[in-house]
Amino acid sequence: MKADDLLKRVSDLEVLLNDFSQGQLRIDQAENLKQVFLFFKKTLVHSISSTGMYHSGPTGAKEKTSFDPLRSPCAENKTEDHIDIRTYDAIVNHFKTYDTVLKSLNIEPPMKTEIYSSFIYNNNGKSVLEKRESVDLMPLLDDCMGEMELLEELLKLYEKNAMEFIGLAKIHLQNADYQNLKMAAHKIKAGLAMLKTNDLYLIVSQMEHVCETNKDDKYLHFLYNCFVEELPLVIESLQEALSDLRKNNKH
Amino acid sequence: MVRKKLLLAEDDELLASLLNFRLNKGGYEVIHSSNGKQVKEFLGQTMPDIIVSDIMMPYFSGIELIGYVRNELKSAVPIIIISSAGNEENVLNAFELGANDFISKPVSPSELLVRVARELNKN
Repeated sequence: MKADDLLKRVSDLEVLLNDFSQGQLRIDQAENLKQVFLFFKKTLVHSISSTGMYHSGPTGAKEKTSFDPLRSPCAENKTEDHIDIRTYDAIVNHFKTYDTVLKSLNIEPPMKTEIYSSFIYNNNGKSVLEKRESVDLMPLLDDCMGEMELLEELLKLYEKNAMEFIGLAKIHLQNADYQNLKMAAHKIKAGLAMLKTNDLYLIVSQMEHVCETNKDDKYLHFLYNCFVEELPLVIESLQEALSDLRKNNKH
Repeated sequence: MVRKKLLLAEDDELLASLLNFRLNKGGYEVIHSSNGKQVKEFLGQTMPDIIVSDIMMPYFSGIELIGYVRNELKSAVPIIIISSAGNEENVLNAFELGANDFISKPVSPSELLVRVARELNKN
């Protein structure tokens, strides 16, 4: 997604936010608003990181760096593909406004979450989001009454559902079949929520919303790609969590 | 002791597996159907003690299922609907057609067990 598209979406969101006052906002609306906001922030972070605007050290450095959304971008890295400083500043200003509005609505500012907290740089100097969300499988194991085999089976089904969704979404996108894409997104949401994999949940929620509203094909492709990129990280986190549970069970 | 028959109509395998397991452990005889056609066929042969159904199912939605059970089969069997957040309109339709209760996704199996027991105790 281009930075100016992103800026437009952020601006639209700002208008939405300003339409609410604290007294008028129901808890579910506040939660929805927060989730949408979180997603846009993530989209922004992803967009900025993929343009390589953030560098805490020399290009190509492999170390982890803390992510500061309000840090100045590196002007020397500006190319045609990069977000220009004016656009960047405008985006940052919008987010500052959002944070203020969210605080006034008693909604936890999304940047407190650790999801967006760090970056890692690969060998090409291109920053990518580090594995972000740790998954706690304990509540699900409780639901499974401690049956590890059932939990493992559920994880396999989760992965299968996600892979099926990728295949279905690709076909629906190719055919511009937004109704079925919306259905597919809607269907997978329950499983994503069940395992509390919020990143993927936010992506498909947004896909469902876009299918319902403006059917922005480019944006849907972007979201689809986000899902495809995100899934292996989530599965890795789930496997790690499962492995930890197995170890704890042995002790 | 005779186990109560529970028809679980849910096409999401992930959720259905967990609910099937817990409902079985909770003492119910669970008949699981993953699409509306199967549900309709099953209901044509036998009526369970309670139905737990997702709203969005292939071929035959949960809403259609309620209409079928109440209007065609003339049955008062308790029906609990599983719905997603943001599906309020469907939930209202479900109640208008005769659903007894609803539970939102992600479904807590423990909560579902309580709701199922409550509906069965009412009868």
